[in-house]
Amino acid sequence: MHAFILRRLLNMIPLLIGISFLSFSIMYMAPGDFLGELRLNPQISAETIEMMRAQYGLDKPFIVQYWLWFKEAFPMPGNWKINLGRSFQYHTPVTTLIGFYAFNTFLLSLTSAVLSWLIAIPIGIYAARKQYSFGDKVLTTLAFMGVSIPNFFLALIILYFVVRWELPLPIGGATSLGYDELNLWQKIVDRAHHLIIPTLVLTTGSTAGLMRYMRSNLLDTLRQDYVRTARAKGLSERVVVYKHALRNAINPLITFFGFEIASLLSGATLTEFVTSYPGLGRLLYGGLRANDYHLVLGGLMVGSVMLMLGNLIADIMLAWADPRIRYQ
Amino acid sequence: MKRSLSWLMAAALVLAFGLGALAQPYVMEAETIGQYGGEIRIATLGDPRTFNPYLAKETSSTDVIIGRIFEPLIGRNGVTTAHEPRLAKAWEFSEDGTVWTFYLREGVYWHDGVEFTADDVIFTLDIIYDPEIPNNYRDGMLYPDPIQYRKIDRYTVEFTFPMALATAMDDVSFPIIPKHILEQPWKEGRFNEMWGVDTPPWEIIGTGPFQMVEYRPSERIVMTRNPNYWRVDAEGNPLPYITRFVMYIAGNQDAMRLMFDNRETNIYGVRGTEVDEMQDNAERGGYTIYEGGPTFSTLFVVFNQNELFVPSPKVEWFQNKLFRQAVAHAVDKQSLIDIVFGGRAVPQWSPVSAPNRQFLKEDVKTYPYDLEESRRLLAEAGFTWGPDGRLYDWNGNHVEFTLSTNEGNLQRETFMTLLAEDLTELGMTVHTNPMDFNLLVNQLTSGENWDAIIIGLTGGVDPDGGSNVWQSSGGLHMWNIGRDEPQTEWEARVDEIFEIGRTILDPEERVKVYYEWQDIIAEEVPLIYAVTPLVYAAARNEIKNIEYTAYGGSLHNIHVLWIDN
Repeated sequence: MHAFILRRLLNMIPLLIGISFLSFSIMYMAPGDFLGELRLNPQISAETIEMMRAQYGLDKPFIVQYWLWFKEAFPMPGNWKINLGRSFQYHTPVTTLIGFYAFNTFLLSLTSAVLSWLIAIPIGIYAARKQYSFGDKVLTTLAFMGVSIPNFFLALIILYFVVRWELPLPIGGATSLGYDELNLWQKIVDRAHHLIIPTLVLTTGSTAGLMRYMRSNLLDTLRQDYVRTARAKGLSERVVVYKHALRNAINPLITFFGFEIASLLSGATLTEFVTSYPGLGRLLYGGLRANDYHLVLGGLMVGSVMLMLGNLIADIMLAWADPRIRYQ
Repeated sequence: MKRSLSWLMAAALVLAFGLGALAQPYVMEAETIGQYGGEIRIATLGDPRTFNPYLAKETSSTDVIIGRIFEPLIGRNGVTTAHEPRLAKAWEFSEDGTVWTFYLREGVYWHDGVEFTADDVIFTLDIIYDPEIPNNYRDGMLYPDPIQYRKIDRYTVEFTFPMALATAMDDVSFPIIPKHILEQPWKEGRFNEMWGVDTPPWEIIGTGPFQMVEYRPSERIVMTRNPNYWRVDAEGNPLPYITRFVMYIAGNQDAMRLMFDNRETNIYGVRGTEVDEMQDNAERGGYTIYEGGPTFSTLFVVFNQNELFVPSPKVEWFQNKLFRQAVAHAVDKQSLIDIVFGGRAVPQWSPVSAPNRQFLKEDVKTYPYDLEESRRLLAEAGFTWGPDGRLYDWNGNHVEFTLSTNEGNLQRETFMTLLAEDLTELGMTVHTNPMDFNLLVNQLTSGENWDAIIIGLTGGVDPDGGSNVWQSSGGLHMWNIGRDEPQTEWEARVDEIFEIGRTILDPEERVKVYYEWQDIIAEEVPLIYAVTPLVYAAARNEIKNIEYTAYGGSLHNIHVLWIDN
């Protein structure tokens, strides 16, 4: 098992280099560069633009540009820090910028993930056990609504009613003015207050999907022979469902959980924009729009690492949950 | 020239005798004397990318720091656009207009308590002319030689320009930065890393009315009043009145509106299409809507007249004045105003933007929407219509070209569609082509692969700021790009006008010179202008002394804004 984890971790290195190279190539081939907007400014001369190009290394051949980024981004002899390169727009290491936003996005995604799992799993089990009951039908209808309303639209509707009914909720941000002077408890309350709208938006969609998933998995397992056997043995319904069926039904959800980890830092971009929540998505989208290659690459690297780690964790959990799965 | 000189001397004398020699506060006029306290809260889109004014390239950075944290020697009045003293209390120039002496305001302190002196001005110029620091202030200050600058005493500096320059006062409106903080990093080659967004905000030191105390990325910037600021009100009370200035960073335009409706912000820039609806709710919402008049932003269509890039016969049509005038008559400005701006825009005819009263020539040639007139002009140019109603040139080629703009911009896309419809009506075949912004700019600035483009630029007060567009060698001389020599007689004349214009020091005489340029452009229509939007702002009724203008916005006199509880 340890050898397996080590191997998977080592595999990440060539994979990351490959991802960064491919992404860099694609961005390089896209038309325009970071200075495009400036060229339309009548006050800035072509010479200054050229000087800036040289300063940012944009005048160098593709492979040199990639190497310049690579050298700064990853640990190298003489410079063991990981800073993911220096942003063109901000003149600051990308890791610093990501650091500004990572906690906010993490907090939002985690809250919404925990909430949606806490709500979706019991509801899914209930709906599966009471298939076609009135309760199941109501929950299924709600779930379909939740899945089909786009996040941004739901957010706009919520925001509209907050203003319309003058609810005491903030329209944007993650903290209130004067946050720094609050004590720890007040800080937690203030954060939670700001999380309500974005969490509501983010949780609605994912809860609905997860609940449908749980329901159909459990229904599948409940029809298996070993469940019938368990029932025939005279086990109580409780033991049949929660000990025999559920443990098998949960397997696919563990894979799902792996993806959930991956999206902890990157899954909320749209919601962040519409609810003005200060998350990573806003930073990276800004970088993308400005052709700030280094910033976008940094974001992609973080996203890729999270995805790989998420998958690894899911694989380990699968082995733990299901004795049939073994890694060499 | 004499007159402006003596006026300035008089102003200096008033300041010197009226207010005492040591502390030299500057009286800022306002409708009412205010009370202290309260805050102004606005929302903006986009984060600052740096707090270093010489690295800032985008308005989301400069809007935060310029005027609030950092100040120039001379600024422009937000209402009249006239020059007025800032960190320089007075100035004078030599008889030939090349040597300018600036007398600095005494008793001005940086936010950390160190006194502002001539050394800071000299240091700032060292930064501007440092080739390692590409900045757009330098571009305006190469003629093509740099100015010579020297310190005369602690409170006096002297700049020697290579020639007499009408634009000198605009060119020296660069923000002053503190030598005592930035000199050491600059000498160590670290200037380009200084004052990034990761710097603790209170370490950003300026002389301005506000000090930064908090920056939370994509959330807000908080500034508090500078208690030692040099401006005072008419009763001698120190300004600014408000305790705090907060800029929220919203995710999108709709969120900005919701924040205002939710009373999180108390000033909001209203979109043209929102004006009527917001006006109806003004009483209930406790706010007032102010109109600032037309903006400096422009919207136009330009034809590529460069035969190096455009093949024949297209280029002959585009080079034909009558063809361009015919297109100008096919621009349906009223529909554009109604559809995109909810009726809140005005047509533009002159290359000088409408709010620029000083230079605008009101009676330039206009091209009212009139397809009959277009047909007449096309016929006069030698175009004919086939039996199928399609337009053919003098050699029997069908008139067909591509009209591009950048996608995602409602104004430009609507203009493109409207214009294409009308040109089709005239028998042309127009391929509309919304495309990626960067690609469009690449084409526009290289001259390659385009026939006609719809785009906009933002103008300034002084026409010389547009010399990059109007002079033949300019990098944005879009219709004939990459030429060292003027290609037509009228372009040669425009080149001359700009050369002469920037050396005339008498304001009235100077305006006349630029009148001729406006007439030439209106006649030749290298850029066919569409409309200029009117701007509006909403502010809560408790905010007093608002003087909203398109040029200065709602915050140009933030020093005297106050909250009436």
